Amino acid sequence: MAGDDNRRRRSGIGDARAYTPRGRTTRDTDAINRSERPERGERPERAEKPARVVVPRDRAATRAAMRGRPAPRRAPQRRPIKPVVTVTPPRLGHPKRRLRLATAISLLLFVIIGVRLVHLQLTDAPAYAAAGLQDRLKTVVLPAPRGSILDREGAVLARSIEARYVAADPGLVTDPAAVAAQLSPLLGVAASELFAAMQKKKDELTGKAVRFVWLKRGVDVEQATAISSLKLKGIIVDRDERREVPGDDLAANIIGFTGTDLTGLGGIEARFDSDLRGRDGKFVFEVGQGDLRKPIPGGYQLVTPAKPGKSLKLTIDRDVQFMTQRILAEKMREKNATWAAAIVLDARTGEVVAQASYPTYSAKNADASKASERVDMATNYVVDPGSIHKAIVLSAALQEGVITPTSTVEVAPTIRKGDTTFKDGHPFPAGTHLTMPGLMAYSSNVGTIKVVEALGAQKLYDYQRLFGLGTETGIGVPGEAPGLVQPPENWSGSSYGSIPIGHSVAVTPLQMAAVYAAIANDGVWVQPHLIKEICEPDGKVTPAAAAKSHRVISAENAASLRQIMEAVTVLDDATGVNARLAGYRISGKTGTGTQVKDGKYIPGEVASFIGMAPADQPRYVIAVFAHTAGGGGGAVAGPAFRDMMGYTLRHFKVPPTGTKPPDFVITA
Amino acid sequence: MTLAPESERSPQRDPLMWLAVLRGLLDRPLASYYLLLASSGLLLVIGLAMVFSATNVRAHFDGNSYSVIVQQVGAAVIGLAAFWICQRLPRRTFRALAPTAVIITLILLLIMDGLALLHASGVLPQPRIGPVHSETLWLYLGPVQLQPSELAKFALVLWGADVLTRKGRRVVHWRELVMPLFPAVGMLFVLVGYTDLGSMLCLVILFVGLLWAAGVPLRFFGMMLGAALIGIAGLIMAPGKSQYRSARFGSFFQSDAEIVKCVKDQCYQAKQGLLAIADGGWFGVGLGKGRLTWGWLPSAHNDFIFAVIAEELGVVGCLVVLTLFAVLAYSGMRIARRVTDPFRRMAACAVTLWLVGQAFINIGGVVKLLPITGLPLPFISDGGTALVVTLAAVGMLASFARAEPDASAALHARPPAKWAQLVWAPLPPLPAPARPADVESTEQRSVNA
Repeated sequence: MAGDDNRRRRSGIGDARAYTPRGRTTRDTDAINRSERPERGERPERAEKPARVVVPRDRAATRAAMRGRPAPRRAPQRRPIKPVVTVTPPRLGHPKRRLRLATAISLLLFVIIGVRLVHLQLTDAPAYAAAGLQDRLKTVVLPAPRGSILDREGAVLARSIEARYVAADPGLVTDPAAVAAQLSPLLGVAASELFAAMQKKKDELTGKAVRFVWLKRGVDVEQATAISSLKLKGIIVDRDERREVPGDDLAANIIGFTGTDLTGLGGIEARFDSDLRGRDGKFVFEVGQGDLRKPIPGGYQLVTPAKPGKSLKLTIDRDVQFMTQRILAEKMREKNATWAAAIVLDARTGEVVAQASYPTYSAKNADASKASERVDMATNYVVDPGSIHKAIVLSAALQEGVITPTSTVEVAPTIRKGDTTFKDGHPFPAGTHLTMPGLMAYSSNVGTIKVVEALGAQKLYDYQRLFGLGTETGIGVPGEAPGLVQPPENWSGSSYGSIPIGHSVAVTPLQMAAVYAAIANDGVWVQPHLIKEICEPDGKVTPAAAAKSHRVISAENAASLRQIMEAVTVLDDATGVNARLAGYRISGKTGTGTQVKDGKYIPGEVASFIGMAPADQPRYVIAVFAHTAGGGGGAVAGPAFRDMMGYTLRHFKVPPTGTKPPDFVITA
Repeated sequence: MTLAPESERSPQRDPLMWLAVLRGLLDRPLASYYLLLASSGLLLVIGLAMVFSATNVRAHFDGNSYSVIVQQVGAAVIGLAAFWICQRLPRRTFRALAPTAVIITLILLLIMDGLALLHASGVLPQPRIGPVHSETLWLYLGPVQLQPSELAKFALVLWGADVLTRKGRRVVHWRELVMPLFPAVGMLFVLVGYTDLGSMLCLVILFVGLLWAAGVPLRFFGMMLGAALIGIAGLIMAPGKSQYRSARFGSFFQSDAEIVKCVKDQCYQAKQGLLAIADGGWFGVGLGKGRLTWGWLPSAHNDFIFAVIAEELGVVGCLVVLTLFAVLAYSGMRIARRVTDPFRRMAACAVTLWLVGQAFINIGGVVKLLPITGLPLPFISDGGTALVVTLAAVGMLASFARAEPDASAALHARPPAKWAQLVWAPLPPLPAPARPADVESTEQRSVNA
């Protein structure tokens, strides 16, 4: 019954009434208000309600009964009040309309949020995302060690090892004295020094407190671990790299040294810094914040692998280098030399087997040395070669056909060229016909000058250049001097006397060694070089750039000249007797020159001996140069040469020469 | 021959077809009920997923990845029980419980704020008396931990709707409207707003919803709006503990670009929220793959969970959540519109506006349309009390949805099996032949007279 009743009402006219704006227009309302109807200004719809409300329910029956009464009672009450309450009570809002509005507003709010999200995504979001990512990234440096420097057999000459640095943040160190006392024995640095470093101070430029001070770099890992385990506040221990030079002063002048940040500061370390230096890699990854500062799985990650430096394999032989340095140092100390240099060249390949300087320094402690000790004297010093230059004159003369191995030259005790008179150290009476071996053995200046007279200045100059004088050899050591040879147009009158005998010519010891190596190598000049191979970190080996080479004289002429120069050591009263080596035939030449420094000849003489062995089939060329107060090349450099050559030949297992040197005729 | 008519017909039909289908579906008597269940159910599921996603990293490093989500699932189970109960309760029980609920809530709030005040004034060394202790928004009663401000929302809905129903048409008179509603509500506002401005705003919206649905004249709203604005401004500017709040409010006036560049603490949260939205892009980085949950985004699991949704599910995921809230708003309002009884109408409207308002204030804060206030996102944010109360309120809405005249008639026409009624929900009351509110209000009026 009730259901039917209700359904009829809901679906019928009642529903329609609920939606119609009947009685709700302002016109209607005004009309109602004006008419001062007793319904408290409400809609006339209300009048119908009691009728609709009549519910045939038990409880409602009593209510309906009550409802009958108050209606008439209320009306008379309100009527007199009405004029007193001047404000008309507002109407009750229409629920359904209001709820629709609320729905629309609610939905609109979510639409606004949606629009905002889409708009943000369309405009700035990618840029913000990139900026945000930067905030969350952490970079870990993947250290790339510096390459090693090895000798020809692969023995280590210099290498990098992992180490730790120890530093301090003075702002965090509370008790510098106690910390210094604890660190001092572990670091091997005086406590007073550490204490001073850990004092709070301000940066001079920025005025901010200094928060990082090095205490020691290259600390051993074990010691660093011990320091970390002390857990000292404000003490920082982190990864570092240390250059280790096991040979101390072994080949120090060639290899050079590195600074604290492992930058090459001298020698090969500097020259090949870009090859040796590794390129640090980095691992960039996204991390959380605070105690979640750990890599986020699936987050941004970028690994740039570390590229360790390349290693260099030198042509140096560790043992020969050691002995060469030792012999040079011993002999030169005896002779009180200012400086000395020795070069051991493989005559056939141009490889530098050893290259020594005296005095030298400790590469482990380069700071304690003088700059003059760190120079590679064999390539950086420029000298007047003296008589060793005569080999160039004879080579040119032989090759140009001016002389033959059996030619003789008429000599006198002196010869005058320009304003200078040139004398022989071992004078022959005027009119003596000196053979070529005689000329070399007694180092006849007059004879040599006469040969050049026949040869001509231009030819001599050409051969000087062909033998590599006046240009750097390109051995691979920084600071190599090119030397200087004068073209004929610059020659003065005396130049015709001085240049043939090796004065007014500026050469490096290495250039002269290369000249003799060309003679030893059957007339082919080969660029002397130090780098044998470059080893990539992945094990790939690249041979160094091929040495340049060119023929200077013919093989026959080279052989003839070697034989001529053998007289220097064979003849008993010749200049090079000190260089004799039992069992081996030695071909070589002594020289006594001078040194030019800052445009002036400095006091003292540069004694030199360059020789090759075995003379008939040369394997090694050794050059020894020394600056002493005075003394011929044979006396000063000869013994050093002999010992070095002896060791080198034994080391490389070169069998003694089976043949005998020829009998030399000095005068004809 | 055969293709031509089809291709002609389909463009004519299709655009109208789906609209017609939608209308047909919406015209079904139980449409509001199912829309409500579907939207709130999906929001609950998404919420649980997002809470797990936002908390598992921190929880993992604290020992157990599931420690937080297990609590939240427990709260959801309790909430579903509350939903079930509320869906079964008849209207008169809600009305009968209303005064008690408000009084209990007021007492809990008084205890919470009282303890905090005593602690702040130095009377108590700890904000604790016996087993009861208070901690900002939470009150601990022995092992039970709850947020009285959340209870206050539901209590206000019940009591306000009840009082306004009893007032009936007399609400057009200022005096009638004010007593006893305004003093009690004002006290509630102050007690809640003392610790939680966001919840107070939510209460204001809810209360406005009640008055709106009650048909209170517009001029009163104007007056109340003025008072509310002054009050909010006062709370924001109030010194002392609310310093942080006003600082966060300050960051609202900065542009997006300024916030992204900002390195100050006060714009940190807004910045991380923006970065999360930017990082998510259109389709998100993937569920559980968010990076800002790694300690970058503060309150990622409650106030800023929408930022986590934005990062992990992208704009698309956000639009899904917004659509679900919109469907909830629509169905809630539809229930309010369709029910005949004024108590149900007011309560439904108030609950819907509460949820919508809370969602908008929360999301608006994250997307920087509004200042950050610190309100949880309904259904989604981590927080037991809020979830239980929300589900209870939705349960009440569901019972109202079943009481829509058409729905009720339909259910009575083809009633579910007896066991289903026992397990799920009883049959709703048949729609009264006349609107009972009118009966009551008339009755009241007559009594007063």
